[in-house]
Amino acid sequence: MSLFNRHKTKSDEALMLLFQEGNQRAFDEVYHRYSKRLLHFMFRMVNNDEALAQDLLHDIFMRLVQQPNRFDTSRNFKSWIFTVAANECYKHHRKRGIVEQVDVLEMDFPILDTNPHDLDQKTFRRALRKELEQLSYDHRCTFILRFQEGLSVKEVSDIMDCSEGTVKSRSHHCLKNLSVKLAMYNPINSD
Amino acid sequence: MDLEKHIEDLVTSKSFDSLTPAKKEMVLSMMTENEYVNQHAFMMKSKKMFQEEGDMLSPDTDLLFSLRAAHTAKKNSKGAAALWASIAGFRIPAYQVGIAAALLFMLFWRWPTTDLRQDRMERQVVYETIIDTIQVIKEIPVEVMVPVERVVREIVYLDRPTMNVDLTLGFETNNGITPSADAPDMATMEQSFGNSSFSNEDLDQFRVGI
Repeated sequence: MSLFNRHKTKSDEALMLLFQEGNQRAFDEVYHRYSKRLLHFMFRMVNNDEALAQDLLHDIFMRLVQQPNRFDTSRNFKSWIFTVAANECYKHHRKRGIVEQVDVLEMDFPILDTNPHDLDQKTFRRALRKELEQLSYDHRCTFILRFQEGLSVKEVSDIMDCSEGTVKSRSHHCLKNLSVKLAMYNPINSD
Repeated sequence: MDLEKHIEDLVTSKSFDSLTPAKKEMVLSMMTENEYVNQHAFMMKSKKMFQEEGDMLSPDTDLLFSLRAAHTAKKNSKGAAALWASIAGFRIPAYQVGIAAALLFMLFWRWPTTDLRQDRMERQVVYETIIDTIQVIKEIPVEVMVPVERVVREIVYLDRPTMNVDLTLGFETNNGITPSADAPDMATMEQSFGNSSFSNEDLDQFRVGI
């Protein structure tokens, strides 16, 4: 087994420990594991601005290279790196002043008066993007981490620095309200 | 809350029809069948969308290389910093530093030997003429031929056509009659009228008595 493959079997925390000792291959492995996921997460969090997401990704990994000891190896690396990414997105939102404070419970429900026969995945994508943009930062972050990135409730609660109950409540309300809002795209309802 | 979490897991993974009767009962205690179906369909579509978009996105190819370069640079700078730290950590007694400074002072310091006032008096003022250029604006008349299109009325004067009349010899008209300088013989004129095709009788109607 080559050295590179041996790194593939290691945990994130073990890799970070190696990286803190100066092992560059360990860093490469961490990069391959998380760069794409973080990019996708931040792309969604910054309202689908890919260039901005790329910049934020660059900043995060550059900071990791410059200060690898900032990560406490006793912690969960996945939660930590997603926390850093979420904070970067939040800082960007605050700087731009586009943090939407619309509560998911107070959102208006659309009137389903359109003929949904010819609505396809593309239209659904556009509608979901729009609905996600209208969510508050916390709800959007919770929804994306839970259902796009597939993180557990515990991991999301660590990242969002809130209780697991809050995460469950947020994800439940997001799922319920978004499914109602986008019900017109369900083939069963369109018949 | 655990029940909600369990139902959420079912919604994201299984359709309503594929649930066991027990699970259906559990689901229906929390929501209607229609709600479950809607949420399941929404999650399936969302997952598909996330998958497609995730496949399209990829980090910049240069990013990893720049990160590696930064890591290498950091390692190198770390070595230089350690060297400087070892140099700074080398201790020298203060009296040795003092002796070294005194030697350097004696080596390089000298009293000024020249008279500074003399230097000042020998100074000369040098006037320098700076030739600069000036700008003169001259007005030069320039004839410009501008093509102009206009209607010109041309009046052409022609000579009036005149006839050469020989008053002495008479003249010949277009009808072939050559007038004579003498008075015509009216008797003859009554009988014949040049080379006309009309007969003499036909012309009677035009004749008047003289």
